[in-house]
Amino acid sequence: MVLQIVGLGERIIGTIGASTAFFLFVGMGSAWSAPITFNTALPVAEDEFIFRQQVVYDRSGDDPSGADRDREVFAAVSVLGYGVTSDLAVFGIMPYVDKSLEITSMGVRRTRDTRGIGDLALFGRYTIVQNDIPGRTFRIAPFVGVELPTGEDDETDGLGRLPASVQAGSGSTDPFGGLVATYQTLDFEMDAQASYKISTEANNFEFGDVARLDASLQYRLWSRSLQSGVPGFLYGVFEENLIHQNKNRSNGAKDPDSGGTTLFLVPGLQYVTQRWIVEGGVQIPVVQDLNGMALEKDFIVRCGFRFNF
Amino acid sequence: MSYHLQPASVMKTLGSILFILFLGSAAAGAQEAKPVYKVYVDGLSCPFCTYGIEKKFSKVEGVEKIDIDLKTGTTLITMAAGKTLDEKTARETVKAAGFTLRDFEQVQVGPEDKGKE
Repeated sequence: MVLQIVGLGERIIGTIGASTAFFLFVGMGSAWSAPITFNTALPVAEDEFIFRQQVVYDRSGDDPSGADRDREVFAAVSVLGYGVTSDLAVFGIMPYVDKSLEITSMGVRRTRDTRGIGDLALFGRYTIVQNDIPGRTFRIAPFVGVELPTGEDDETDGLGRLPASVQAGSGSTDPFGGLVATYQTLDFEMDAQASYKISTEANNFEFGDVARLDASLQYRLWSRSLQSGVPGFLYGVFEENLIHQNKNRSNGAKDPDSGGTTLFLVPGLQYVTQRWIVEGGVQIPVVQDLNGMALEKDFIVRCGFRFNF
Repeated sequence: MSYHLQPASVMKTLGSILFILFLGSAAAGAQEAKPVYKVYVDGLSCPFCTYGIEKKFSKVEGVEKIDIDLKTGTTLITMAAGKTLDEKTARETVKAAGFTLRDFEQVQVGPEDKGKE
């Protein structure tokens, strides 16, 4: 029975958990007025720091396997950005995660969980196109980075070693990169991003590579007419995340119950001032084309703040 | 003992007071006049972004006050008495904040500039 649970556990997080860090954290690397779920091409001032904190609740529970699997991830994600120059910014993303997986096997309900520091992601972003006119800007910026194995990847419980996707860290060093574009006016902002993460092997397990296409529209709902000075803006936010993940590999063999494609729609709100931003949004999966018996996502809730200092 | 105020005397006294007040205010005005520059910034389009402009200008020597108007994309820079801001410094500061300087003008001159006129 134990082996059965462990085996199913390994497969469980195939589609979703396998890309947890990239899925949940790397996408939110920017700390500027920006999308809630991914990056932006807006600048970080030279020799200045910005900070972003987000709390994420990620729930999956629609189980096609009949094992009544439920998976929850709580994460507190801290992002620190630094402007090396006005064109080059570097970011560090450190998550603290609390993961749990409940599963019923042979009539017994089991919980496997862990918590701790996750994998640290570091990346740099360089602005290659900047077109500024009064009250609006258009920018394109590629970015490259790496996710380092700083999280614990060898946790055990009474059933033995936790499945790779329940571990706080992946154990692997995973490069990623992409391109982000931003068009911002005084009334609205549009962002689009394409990115790819290459997962490498660790502990005889390799998560599937992840490709993402993201888009965001932020529209100023209030104040309706601009006041003089620097007024606060309330933005209505609407985003989409199209995420495809390849199948995981375990001991060199592809896991047929992992990977697939998910499309999220993300309604949200942002209140933006000169010094800080508060924001929140819900990622709702509207299309889930997953492989085999991969566990389907219910929703992801994000809320947080950003701070200029 | 009684005092009788003569109209001519009252007018003379009032005139002296007003003259002294005028001289005082003129002298104070001359002391308070500080150079003010208007910096036109392109690409500035959200409140959060303006902080970079404010922070970078606050590190320029002699800058005393920074007033940003997001709607017009302009920033008024008030310098301390005796300090000036040149266009090259303004351009570099705006660039360091991640934006583009479109135009630069002095909208109020300081006493040292008046002497050059």
